Amino acid sequence: MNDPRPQPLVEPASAPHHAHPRGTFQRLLVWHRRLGLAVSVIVLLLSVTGLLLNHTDALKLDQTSLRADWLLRWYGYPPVAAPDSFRAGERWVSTAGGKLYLDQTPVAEAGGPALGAAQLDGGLVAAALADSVILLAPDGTVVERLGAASLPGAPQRIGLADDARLALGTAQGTFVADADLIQWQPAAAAPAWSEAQAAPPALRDALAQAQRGPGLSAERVLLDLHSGRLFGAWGPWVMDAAAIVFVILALTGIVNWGWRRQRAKKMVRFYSERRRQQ
Amino acid sequence: MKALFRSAVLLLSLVSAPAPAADVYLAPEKFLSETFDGSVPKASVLWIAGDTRAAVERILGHSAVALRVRYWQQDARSAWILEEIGKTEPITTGFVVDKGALARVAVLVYRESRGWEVRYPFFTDQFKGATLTNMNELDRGIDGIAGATLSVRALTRLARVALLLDATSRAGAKR
Repeated sequence: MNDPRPQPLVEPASAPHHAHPRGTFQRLLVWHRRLGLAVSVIVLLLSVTGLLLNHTDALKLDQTSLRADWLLRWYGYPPVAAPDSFRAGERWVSTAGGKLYLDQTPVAEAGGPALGAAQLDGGLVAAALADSVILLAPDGTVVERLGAASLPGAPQRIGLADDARLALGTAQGTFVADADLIQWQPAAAAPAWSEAQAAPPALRDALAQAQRGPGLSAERVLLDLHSGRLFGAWGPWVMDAAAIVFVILALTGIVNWGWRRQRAKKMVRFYSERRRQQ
Repeated sequence: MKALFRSAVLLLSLVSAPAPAADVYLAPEKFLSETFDGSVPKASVLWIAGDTRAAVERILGHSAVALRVRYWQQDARSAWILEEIGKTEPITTGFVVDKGALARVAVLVYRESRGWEVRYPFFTDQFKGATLTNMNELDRGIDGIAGATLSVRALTRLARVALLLDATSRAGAKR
């Protein structure tokens, strides 16, 4: 007697067999799954980085600077020490990355390291470089850059005389400026010279960052991540291998789909035939 | 990765490199000494503020870098030592203005990697006798030098600034 309930679509022993040996098909499926699992992380990585890179302009990735210590070290940036800082009253004067800094603000171009700094009446700050003295207003505006023609000699040290006037140490001797900082006279007594001091940690960190330059653009890091170059010499080869695996997965996927479709058709044909015979 | 590291090191060296060596063609002190026949007058300072500052910034195309500038004056002759960036580095140039007209232009210190031809008299002599128009332009055209366009432009801008500052200082003296 026939069972009226729907029968599960199981392959009976008499069902037609696939043209390919069953073992080959199973093995192909197993390898398809294994390879898929193995490259799934890379697929995710490529998809996410690819999506981000496709929208570089909108996301301003080329203008986003990455300065994480570990990343810069990974890219071969040597660690940098914070440059010397000089205290001028309540202000700090330093040079980093070719710029003269008043506290944490870059205020002028500096050809070389600062040699010292002094604060004058009215909050004016004088910073000595190897070839010039830069006078800064309290807000950091450059009042004047005194070059060779305006100095009694190339600066070696800077400080304050007893009467709080600006003093400059040069190879030609020590000189003191007039109140308008225009003329220089030989100093009568030894001034208090500006000396390098340990800057506050926040300033030190900011200067060290400035010393390192603009850092890495997020676009560059993402490109290196996408191509595998971020992971060293083997990175691109791993990505190449992953690309080959993607091709294999696509082919085995198509073959798998073809086999299953062919088998399903044969099964339908077989059961239709059997129902007709019954 | 080696290339990556090399690029990183190169980038770092560019960032942390000291300023390129400066070529001193004429020491500023010597320029002043030559200008005033060995008897350099005391320096004076001109504060760049108000309309003068606006005019200087219009000529330079950027904000003026200092609030005041130093100059040396004897009778109707004044000397100015000014700096302007050609491409990346400042060019230090000396200007002598006599009765409102440029009498001498001399490149004192040149720091750019190219464009140094502006130091030669065949270029600087073009400025001799130049005056400023009402629009703060030079009253004559200055021929350029192939390969030194930015330096030529920088010097031309500075020449206009020197003439403007000289006029300002003389106007201030009259008041």
